[in-house]
Amino acid sequence: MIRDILKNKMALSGLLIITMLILVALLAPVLAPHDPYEQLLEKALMAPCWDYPFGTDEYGRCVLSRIIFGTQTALFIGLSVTVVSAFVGVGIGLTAGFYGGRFDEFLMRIVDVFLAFPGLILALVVAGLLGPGLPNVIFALALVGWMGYARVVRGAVLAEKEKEFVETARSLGASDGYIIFLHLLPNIISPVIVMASIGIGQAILGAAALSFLGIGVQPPTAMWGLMLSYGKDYLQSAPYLTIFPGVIIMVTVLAFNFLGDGLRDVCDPRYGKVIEE
Amino acid sequence: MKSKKLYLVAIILMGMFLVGGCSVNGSTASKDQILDVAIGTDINTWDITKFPEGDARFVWSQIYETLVRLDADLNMVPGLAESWESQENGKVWIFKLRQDVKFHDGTPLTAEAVKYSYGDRAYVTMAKTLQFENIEVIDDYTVKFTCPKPMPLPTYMTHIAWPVVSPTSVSATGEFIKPIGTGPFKYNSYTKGQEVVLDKNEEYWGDEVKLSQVIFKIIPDSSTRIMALTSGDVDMSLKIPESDVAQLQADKDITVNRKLSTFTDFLQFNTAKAPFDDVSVRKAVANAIDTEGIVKNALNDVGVAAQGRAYSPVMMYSAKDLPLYSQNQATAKSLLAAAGWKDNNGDKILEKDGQPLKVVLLVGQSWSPRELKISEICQAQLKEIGFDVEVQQVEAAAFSEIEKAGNFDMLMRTGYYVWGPYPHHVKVHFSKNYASHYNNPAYDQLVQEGESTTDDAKKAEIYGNLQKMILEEVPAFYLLHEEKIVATRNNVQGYEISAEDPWLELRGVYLK
Repeated sequence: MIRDILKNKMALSGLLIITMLILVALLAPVLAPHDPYEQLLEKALMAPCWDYPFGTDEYGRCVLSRIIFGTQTALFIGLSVTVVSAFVGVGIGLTAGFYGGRFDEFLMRIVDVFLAFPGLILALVVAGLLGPGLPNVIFALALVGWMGYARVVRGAVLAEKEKEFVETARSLGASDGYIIFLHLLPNIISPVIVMASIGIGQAILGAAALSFLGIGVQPPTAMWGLMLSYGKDYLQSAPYLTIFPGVIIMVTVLAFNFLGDGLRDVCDPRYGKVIEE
Repeated sequence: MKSKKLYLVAIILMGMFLVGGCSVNGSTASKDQILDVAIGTDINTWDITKFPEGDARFVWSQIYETLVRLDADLNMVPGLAESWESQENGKVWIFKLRQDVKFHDGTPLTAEAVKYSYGDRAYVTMAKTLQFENIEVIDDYTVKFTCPKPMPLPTYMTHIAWPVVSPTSVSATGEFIKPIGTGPFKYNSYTKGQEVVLDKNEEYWGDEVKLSQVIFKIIPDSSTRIMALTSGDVDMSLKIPESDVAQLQADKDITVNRKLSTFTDFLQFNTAKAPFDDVSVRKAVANAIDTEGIVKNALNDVGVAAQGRAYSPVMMYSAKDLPLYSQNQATAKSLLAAAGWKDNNGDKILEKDGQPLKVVLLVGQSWSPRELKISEICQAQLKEIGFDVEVQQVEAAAFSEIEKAGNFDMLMRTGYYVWGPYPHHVKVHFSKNYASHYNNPAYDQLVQEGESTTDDAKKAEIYGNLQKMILEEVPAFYLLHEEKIVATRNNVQGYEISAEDPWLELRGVYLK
């Protein structure tokens, strides 16, 4: 499996970029040339130069340092949103698919209700109601992100639970929990991993959109979406305030999408066989 | 073949969009004298029952007029009232109206209309900013106001938020129909959140209005407003951010009109609760914030650093030689230390009695984008002396709710309680004002004396003392005096910027 990933160029490039981003996030205090929160008003709105490779913002803060520290925020939000929504979604999908019947029907109608809302709008409302703060943003984005997992997992469970190994386990006296977690979960986990890796990118994008609209993470926190939002007032006079955060958001989201697409190809049973034939 | 058909469809669709986009605004005004003006906020009310927020007042100043006017340099001149005189030491005021003024619906301006405009329906009396014992119609063109105590009434009568309106703007059942005033332009149409169209008032009492139509376009985003101006979509833009002034001044097609206005930005403290119930903590804030640096670096030298001074130099009785503040972090830190605030756990945030020095700074969204920016600078500069400031930006309604509930430590405000050059602003810290959050009997007494005395020298002395008291007691820390900025394209002629904010003088304006 790992060898397959390394052979897949898309997945590999995604993985490389993500590894770099993680390193940047971990080493942010070492890598950042300046304090990302220190305002030096007399150095406000400096164009990129040797000291400030990405320039300075309207408060005289180093844009590069803020992007580096923003990596921490972005990855944290992306990971936690995905973990929470995958956890909830997989849990609901597993139980709904396994037990079926009215229980399944009930849970799936809840999923339908949530799917009927336009995702970002719902997140906007929830984050707006809850007020500012990182946990609220994570909650809002997780709230609109779990349905996909539930749907996919339920579908996979419906197919898997009819197979002989489940019958066998049951005839040997295995409990429901044992079957769900030790037999079904490992067999349906690969689409979840694919969804999750794309989901991280989407969550980062969603968080950027929310903070661009001024909802969620509050200044002066270093965050890419917030930097875009502040930079847009200087689009003509200081375009580097929006270009660099924009590029880093794009690269990050692309990296997770590449990894997700690559993983999907690798997990596909038909993958590679076509070439061998 | 198929692709050709697609092209055809695409071309037809594009044509439809073009035609749709060019639809002419209903009226038959001659095309060449239509002025497009970009403003930043929507019109929250057309009726005098509410206070017009933000940029609504720029639009009101075209439709409505006041009894007393201010010229470009803030001198009181006759408006709808030809003359006025006081009796009983300023307790009674008699205004003589112009006799040649008609409202937009053709009804004449009479004393009855004035009485109606300052009656029970009007916001200004509901909010108890103005209270009258009696408004008496002496004849068609003479009206007599009796105040509960002596006060400089004409200085109140310049505020565009409290204009003279026609009683016919309300139906017999008391429902508001449309704005009917006496101003140089009359209401044509309004699309919520989009635009306001005003037509020339052909029967205006003053010099003939040169523009045939004014269209106010509501563009909340400042960079979009600037792009609309540079691309020629609008001829004039209000609310240009200070940081964009230099760039627009370099543009050959654009003139940037600037003038020091009556507005001052300030941080108001909630002295009803800790930590700002302690004057040392308030003084520490005053010493920690570098207002000169803010104006110089963050606002590109547009505006004047207030350094704690409560009124702009253009205001009446603005005192000279005041003991102003300059940033001094050492003084700020020692003030806090003397007040008992120390950093015991090494997190760079001070504590006292186990409570961290954590404060909430509330910012509204109605007047200027610079307010948020300055709040964040204050946040960073206060952090350096050990404050943990949380900046909360909320819309106007939430702002007043939080203010009433008292769940804040500092408020960021601009031009609050300021209209015209008279220092009505001192009443912000008057303890009976609901927006006060400060209680000092000595201050209250000075405010009342200043309002009721008629001797000009004595007024100057009292208002001078009030300004000194504000610097010593710091019920609010004053940050900077605003420069009003109106950018016009060079085809706009005859515009003279006035120091009064928010007021837009379009009477002499024409397009080349």
